[in-house]
Amino acid sequence: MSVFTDLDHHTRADLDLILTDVLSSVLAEEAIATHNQLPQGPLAVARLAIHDQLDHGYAIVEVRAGVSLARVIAARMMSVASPDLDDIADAIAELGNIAGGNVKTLLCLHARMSLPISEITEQAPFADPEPQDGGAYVRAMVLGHVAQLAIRPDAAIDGLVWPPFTPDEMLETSP
Amino acid sequence: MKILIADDSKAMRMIVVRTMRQAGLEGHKIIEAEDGKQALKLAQEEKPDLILSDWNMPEMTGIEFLRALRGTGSTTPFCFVTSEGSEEMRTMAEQAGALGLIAKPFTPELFADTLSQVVSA
Repeated sequence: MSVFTDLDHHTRADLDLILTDVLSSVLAEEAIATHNQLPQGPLAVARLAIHDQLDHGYAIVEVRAGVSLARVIAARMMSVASPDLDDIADAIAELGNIAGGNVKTLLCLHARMSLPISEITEQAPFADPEPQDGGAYVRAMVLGHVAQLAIRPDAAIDGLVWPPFTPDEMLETSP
Repeated sequence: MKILIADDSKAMRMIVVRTMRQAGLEGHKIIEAEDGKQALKLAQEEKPDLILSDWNMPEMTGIEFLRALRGTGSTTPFCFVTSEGSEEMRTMAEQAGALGLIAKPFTPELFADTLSQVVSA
């Protein structure tokens, strides 16, 4: 049990709001919460970890979207007509970063967040309606496409990179 | 006016530039850095008039960048543009000498409100 598990109805509504706000902001299009499924085929995935330093719990925050939507997101974010794979990876990672930062602010009082990583994958999305780890996911529709924001407590954090950490007391005595 | 934008995401650096334009804060020379370490170097070499920086970055975080910059005696206006907008971070930013913290997702209006005191249209 941690701040990331067994989220109540109100918190899930806040997650809905985070996902729709993030999508609306980067795309300048209306996004609405939905229960529709993610598209079949390859998905662009952004993943980062949050470490709650009060209860020492970890969670993976993951944003998924079909490659078609991810391409549109990259094109809008970077003002290019034909984003390449690096652009798509960068854009979906930043989308995950924004969503993750908002999740951290929503759920944690004192926490650290890893840097986001991204990939294009065919791996099945996290979509268990009653996940064993107490996690949760919400979905939103924008431009006719579905995107998903998931919180996965205790998921593996291998491969994630954490920003440098310097305790405040050390920084404050630096010249 | 010269503005340094530090963010490890190219997409976000472009969004920041575009949002400044939408906020009516355009026509300025933009220089970019991919992490805090590079940003600190550029800040010392280029002497920007304003710095907009992400918080979570590789090599050196935004708050470390700000503290190191202030440690050199620089008083360049510095504003965070970051995905995390907790009260804890806002307090840390203010105590370290930032003029504000703009949390993502943001609007052109928020940019204008926060930066109008240091950026001319």
